[in-house]
Amino acid sequence: MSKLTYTQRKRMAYYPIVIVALVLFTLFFTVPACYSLFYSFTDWNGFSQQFNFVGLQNFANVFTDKALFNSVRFTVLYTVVLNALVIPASLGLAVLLTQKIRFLKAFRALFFYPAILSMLTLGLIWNELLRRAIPGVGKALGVEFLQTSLLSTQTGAVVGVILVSLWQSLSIPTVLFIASLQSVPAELNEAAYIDGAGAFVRFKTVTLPFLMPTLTLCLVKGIRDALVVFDYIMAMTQGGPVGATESMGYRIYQMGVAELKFGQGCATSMVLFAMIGVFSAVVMHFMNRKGIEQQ
Amino acid sequence: MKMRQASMKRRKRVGRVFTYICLVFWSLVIGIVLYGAVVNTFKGQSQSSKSFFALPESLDFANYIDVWNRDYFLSSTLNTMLYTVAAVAVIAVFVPAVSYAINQNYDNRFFRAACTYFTASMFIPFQIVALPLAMFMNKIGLSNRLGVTIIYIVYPLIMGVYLCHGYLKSVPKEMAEAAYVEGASVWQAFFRVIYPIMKPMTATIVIMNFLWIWNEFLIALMMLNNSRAQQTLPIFIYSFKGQYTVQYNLLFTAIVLSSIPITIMYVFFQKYIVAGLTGGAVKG
Repeated sequence: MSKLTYTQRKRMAYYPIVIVALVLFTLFFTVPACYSLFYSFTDWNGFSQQFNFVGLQNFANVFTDKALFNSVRFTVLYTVVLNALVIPASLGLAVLLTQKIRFLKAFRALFFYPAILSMLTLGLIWNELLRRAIPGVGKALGVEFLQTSLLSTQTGAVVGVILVSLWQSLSIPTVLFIASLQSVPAELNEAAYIDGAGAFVRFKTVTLPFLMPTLTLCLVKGIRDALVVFDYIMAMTQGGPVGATESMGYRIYQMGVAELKFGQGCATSMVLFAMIGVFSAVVMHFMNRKGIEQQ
Repeated sequence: MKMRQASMKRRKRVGRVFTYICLVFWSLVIGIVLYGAVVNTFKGQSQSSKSFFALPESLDFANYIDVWNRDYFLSSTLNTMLYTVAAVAVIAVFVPAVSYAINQNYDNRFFRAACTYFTASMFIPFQIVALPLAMFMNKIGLSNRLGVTIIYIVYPLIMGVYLCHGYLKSVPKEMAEAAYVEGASVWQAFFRVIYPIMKPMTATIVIMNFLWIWNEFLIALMMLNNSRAQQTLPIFIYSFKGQYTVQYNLLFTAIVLSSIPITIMYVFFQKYIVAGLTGGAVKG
């Protein structure tokens, strides 16, 4: 012990807590993740003693099995459409919320409030609104198209799930955009204004470069959250009608818990992981290139 | 010149009106959902099916009493409180301490690797872990209160170490050194000097995880499905949906009751909650 230098001795004091953290994290996160990888090559059903190795069969199934591929398609559609709506809408709201207006604090407080509520809770509230309340109002007013629930048709359910997600998903990006809009130096904007640049040109050349990091952050996070969507589906449609709104997250849960397809579920989760990687890489590549172009 | 000024003034006014219209519209979209949920907790079944959006005839707390007396409402509420408070209390010290140890030894390969190990896991979706975790916890006898609490303590390391590590980079190393010179041990230096400096980041992490655990559904659903007595509020609310499909008044009441604590928190700690949910990117 005495041979250790002062720095080494000091370092020894830091090891225990990091080792505790590493052991816990490995045991409860990495080990299950490795199990998942292992079982994704098997046809294990989740409880029997025996299982066979099936090679890449489970991975191929994700793209050939009708129900499974359907969930991939819904998940991608949901992710793309939701983010295509969230980004411009939250940016728009942020622009409005950085104007000099009355009740600014109240608007901001209200617009952020949905973010603190659980997705499940909001999904359940919206479920009742769409299935009962709005058709009820439609009947009372005699308005034809309001009388059937949006969630009762296949296309309608997809639209409904996306709209409900949009309702809640705007909150956080809006606040992030407000912060980055406020970081744009006012002198730059004034200089461009004096040079005769219109509002749109000013936004594109002065403001947008400052927004790029936030835009990338919102997109990467938004895509990730959308790809793993589960709570809204559980709360509103349970994948229906006829599998129209089955997300991959929901399918994996079903396969593992109800359908005795443990191995297939694990393989699907690996594909989901790969999709997050690919989507994030594409976004970051595209956004970085854009950032350089603008400099 | 005067005319140009006048037209500009008019354009500005039009812009302002447009701003208000948009903001009021979105406020109504948010407001009507919250209003619909709250107002129906004071109505009976027949009244709300006739006129969902109308104000209640009287301030009737029957639904609240009904939900309060349901089996498992109280136990679910207490469980959620227990898991949330216990996990957050540990996280509040554990995550900053681990990050501090990593930060102080970042020149060492072991600590650098640990940092990468935690933060790189950010890209792994929970779905990958979900199925084996439930099975694994069952096997080692941790499909219970202790098990979920451990999970709720361990997973926040991913974001927590990332955020604290970034924060600590801005804290000069000499701050801890000065404490050592005065004879403090490394952990005394941490608790007396560094931990107080990290307070804003700790607050962010505490709030972030408080909300996450309070609202968490999938992990609790997969790990606690054997024992109703250990289940959480989100699961209680969800099972409500299955049992009493037609009685959405009661469902809304359960939802409103479960949202009261976090709403009160939102009113008082809005600044920290915004910071927490935006990953510390915005300080309110």
